[in-house]
Amino acid sequence: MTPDPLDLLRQPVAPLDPRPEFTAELRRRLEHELRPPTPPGGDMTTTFSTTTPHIPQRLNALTPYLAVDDARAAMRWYQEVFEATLENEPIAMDDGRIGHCELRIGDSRARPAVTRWHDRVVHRARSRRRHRARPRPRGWRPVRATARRGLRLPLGLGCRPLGPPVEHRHRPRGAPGPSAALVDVTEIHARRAKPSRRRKGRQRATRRRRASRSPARRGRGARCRRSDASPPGTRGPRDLRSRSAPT
Amino acid sequence: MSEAGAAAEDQGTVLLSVYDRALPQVYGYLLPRCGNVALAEDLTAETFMAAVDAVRRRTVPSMSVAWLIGVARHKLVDHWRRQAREERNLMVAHAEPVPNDDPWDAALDAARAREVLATLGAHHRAALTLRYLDGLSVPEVAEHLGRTIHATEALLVRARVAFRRSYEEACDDA
Repeated sequence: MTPDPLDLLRQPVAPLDPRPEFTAELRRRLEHELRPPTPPGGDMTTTFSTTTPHIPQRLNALTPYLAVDDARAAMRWYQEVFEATLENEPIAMDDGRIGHCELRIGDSRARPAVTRWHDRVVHRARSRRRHRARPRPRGWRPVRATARRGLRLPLGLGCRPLGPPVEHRHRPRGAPGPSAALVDVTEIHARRAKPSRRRKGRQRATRRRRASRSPARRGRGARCRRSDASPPGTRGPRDLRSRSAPT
Repeated sequence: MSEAGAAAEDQGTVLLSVYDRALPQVYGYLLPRCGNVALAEDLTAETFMAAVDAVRRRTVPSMSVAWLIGVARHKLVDHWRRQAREERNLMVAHAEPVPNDDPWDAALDAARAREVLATLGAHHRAALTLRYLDGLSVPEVAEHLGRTIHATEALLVRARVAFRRSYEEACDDA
């Protein structure tokens, strides 16, 4: 094989010094790139990132936060009805009310607490006449009947609604449904045993009607039979619907 | 700091310590081959930045001047590839003449040969530089250029023909 004339072009590497400014600049860049990584939180060049889940480990994706009038009664009620367990020692405030506590129901938590705002609303809802006279709290306005669907479950459990459902002014535009409906959960237990006023009235009317028809059925016996036929706490959905639309 | 992180830091320290020795070598390799100070500086910087990147990704087998020159060679080939793409965009592709690679035994003037080499197209220049200036074997050239060995051989034949034509024209002009 004949030697290739182009072999003459062979050029071994001969060191050449570049401009000093270039040398210094490139060294500065290298040192900048190679400096040891700063402690966590300060490093902007690292390519490894850890994602932090936005749900705290001990909580589920949804954790109801309940603001109730009497947190102690609510705790008792949840413990009795839902077999809730108290997660940690309730935080009592200076005035003796419970500021915060956590209840676990199955694998979920609820956090009943009292707030000043809620106290005001409950107070307002207690007296209908005052409720009408007072202006609404800032940022809240009543919602229409479609929004009241959310009330069915608590009402089905026998809760008493505290005023109409409310809708927060600052919720995302177009989001359906009410933001909040105030329901008195503390009274359910007590009320389950005794018939409502409306029910009492109906019973009284029935008694009166029956009395007018057959005088023999008058008296205690009629009332007892009536309550046997429909024990308290098993109210039908029609009754609930009528309750879910407060006037 | 994990062990891997510490290893990367060590490699970074080696890179900085070898910098003063390696920079003239890398620059001395690149400047005669691309013939342009600004371009040589750019490619040198690219080479060292690639080294930093490799240190971070912990893919450096052993940090040395030879390894850095290998990186520089890749950067040079990348440059020629970019340049060839631009040339292709600029020129209407013309059919290259069918090469007849007869042995050419003229004694070459090295200085003129380098001048001629600088006037060639980027793809020819890349192939000839790797093959003759760097003294790589055809398979190594093929690997650098990302071509098959046969394609590289054909490219080298065409490059030699183009070189010879240019060289003889240059001799006639002189």
